[in-house]
Order: sequence, then structure tokens, then C-alpha cells
Amino acid sequence: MPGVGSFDAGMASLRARGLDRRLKTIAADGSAKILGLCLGMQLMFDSSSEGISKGLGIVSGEVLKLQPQAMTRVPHMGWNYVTVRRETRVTGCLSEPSRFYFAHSYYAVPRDDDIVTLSAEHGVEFCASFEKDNLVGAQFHPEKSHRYGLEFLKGFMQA
Amino acid sequence: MTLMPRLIPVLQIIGSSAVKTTQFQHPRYIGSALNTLRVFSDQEADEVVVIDLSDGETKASQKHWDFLEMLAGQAGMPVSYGGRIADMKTSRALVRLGFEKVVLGRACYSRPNLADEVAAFLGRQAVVRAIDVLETGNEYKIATDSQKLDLRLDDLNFELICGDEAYGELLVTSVTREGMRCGLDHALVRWFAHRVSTPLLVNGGLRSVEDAIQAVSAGASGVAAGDLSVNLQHGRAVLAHLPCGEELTKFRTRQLGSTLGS
Repeated sequence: MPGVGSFDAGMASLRARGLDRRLKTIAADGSAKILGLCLGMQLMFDSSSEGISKGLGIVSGEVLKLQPQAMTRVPHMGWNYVTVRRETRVTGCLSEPSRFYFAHSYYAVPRDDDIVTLSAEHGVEFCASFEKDNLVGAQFHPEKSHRYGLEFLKGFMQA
Repeated sequence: MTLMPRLIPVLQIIGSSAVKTTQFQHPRYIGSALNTLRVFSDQEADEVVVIDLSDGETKASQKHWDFLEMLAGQAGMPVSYGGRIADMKTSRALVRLGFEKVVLGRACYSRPNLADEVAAFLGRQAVVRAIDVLETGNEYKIATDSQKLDLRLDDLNFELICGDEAYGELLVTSVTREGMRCGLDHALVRWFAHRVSTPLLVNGGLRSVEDAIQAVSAGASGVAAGDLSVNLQHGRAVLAHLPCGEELTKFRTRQLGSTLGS
């Protein structure tokens, strides 16, 4: 699930194509793996403070707004390093240290903190990537993060 | 570890050719736009801004759109597209082609809701709001397409012209310094850095990595490299290249700040 867009527009677009039901089915029966990128990851959660639409709700948690602070501008835009929070077959493929391209004003907060695999920091420490059963989410753009992103995608394909 | 400052090569194109202008005039042929972008991608550029200077007829042709799709597809990093975008339809089409962000500039003065509309659909992180600044004597003026809209920098109404929620970052270009390699305007960087809470990109006049480091100290989140990234010397000896090694590390490890309100 790629994601350049706003939360409500993204959900409306999935619903218009009937993809919301299809994705929920796949999440439940494990017949395929789903990789959500940026907004695509956020749409997997229950709700977002960016909009009023309900999310897919295939991962428990909510999406909150990043707040500008003394030393941080919002959106969080550019290359940032990630910290490995959990060794998995995906994170095991990454070079140390790995950096990725981020472009977002909102961040996901999974209810179960144990699913977080990578974290990053921008004013707050937030979930940069999670893995739960057949679902993987990344707040960054691996498809636009040079060789670091390719390592992540390779890990996803192999996992 | 936190967010790094970005060094962003600017790729100006006419059709499928890469060009370099001086003060946005006198485009000089640099080479193939596709090859130039590949070099930037191979050298792991943080990001690239494509500025399309093609005429209206070229931009309207399917051939050009096919080319743009190929260009965006070559990049291992995010690519923004700027080139007199005046409506939502074009913005959506460009993102669909593979560009991460659209640069909205002078059209925003006659269509104040444009950035809002595009941000509502694509998300504000996909909108780069560009402001072109001219140095005239002792004051700054905002370059618009209409002579009637003669704005001084102090007249810039941030609420009205670039409401904070309507865009993801601000790209401030000194038209006077564009392609001149005479040094960035650090006072201009400071002026904007104090007034916006979004990332701030600065363009026009970059002379060296040291110059870029100073701009980051003044509050810039990213620095655009035009002449510096396509010419070995100012205006001559074409060579698409990016700073590397220790010089680049020195830039990238620079602490990014927000001097908002200070």
C-alpha cells in the first residue's frame, strides 16, 4: 500500500475501489503479505487525528500529529537514522546504521509497543516500522531511500 | 541521531535536455536530463528538484509526459517537480507519474487556494511552496507573474499567501543570485527561518559546502545546488557531480534547528 496523500482521501479512495474489505480479509486470513508505506502504513490503524474517517483497523492504535518544537520543524522531511528495536528477518537485512527518507506530519502509535521494529526521533521517538503477522508498515519511503531502502524491501520479500 | 540537512541538486530541463540558467535566463545546454539524474541518483543525492523550463506546447505533449515518467522512475531518492503548475489536475498527474512533491510558485498569487486544495488531496508533505525573491537596491521584492502584484518582502502575508498548513516546505529562491555562484543570501534565510515552522529550503547562489553549512546555521533545512552540481567551475566545464567525502559529512552532521520566534 503506497501512500502519498491525506488520511481521509486515502480511505475514500480505498473504499471507492472496494479495496478496504479486500485488505481486511487478507490481513485476517494471512493469504498474502501487506506492506504499508507512509500513509499506507497509517491507514492500517484505527484512526488518525488528520481526518475523521475510520482507518482499516487491521492494527490496533492511532495516528497522531507531530508538533513543531524548539529544534524541530514539521513536517518531518528528509533523511533520518533509525534504531533497531527488534531483530526480525526484515531488520536483519539492514546495514548499520541505516537511514531512510521521511516525509510526514503524523505518526502511528501502535497499542502494542512490542510490534515496533524500528524507531526514529523527531521531537518525539516514534514507530518508524512495525511487523505484525503478515503485516509490515514503514513510516519512511524505502522505495526512495537508495540502497538502504532496497535492503528493507529485500528483507520484506524474504521474510 | 536526528534529521540531517539536505543538499538538493536542482535539475533544470527543457524537453529532455538538462540546462543551466543564470538568473533564470539564458539556458545553457548541459546534457541529457536522464543521464544527469542518473548521476545524481548514483551519487546518492538526498533529493532532486526538477525545474521544467519547457514551453507550453512541449508540456502539453504526451511525449513529454512519457519522458517525465521515465525521469521520475530513474531516481532512487525523492524528486520534486516545479514548472508553472497552475492547477490540481496537473499536480495529481505528476504525483501519479512518480514525483513525490509538486512545487507551487507564482500561480499561488492569482490562485490563493491552490496550495490548500492540493494539500487536502495529496497531503501537505507533497506540496513545496516556492517564493522567488528579487534583490532591488536595499530591499527585497517578491517576483510574481503580474507587474501589478508588486510585493515587498515585508508585505508577505504568511496567513494569506502561504498559510502554514497548506504546504510541507518552503523553497525560497534568490532570483538575483540564481546560477551566479556568488554565495547564498544568509540574511534572507534568517528572515524566513524566524517566520515559518515548516522545513525551509534555500536556493540561489550556492558557492561551496561551507556556504551551505552557514545556511543551515541560519535556519535552512536544505540547500539547493544548481550551478555547483552541474558545472566544475562557475558557468563552465560541465560535470554533473555532488560534494562527497569529508566535506559532505561535515554538512550532514550539522545539527538542524528551528530558529522560529527566536
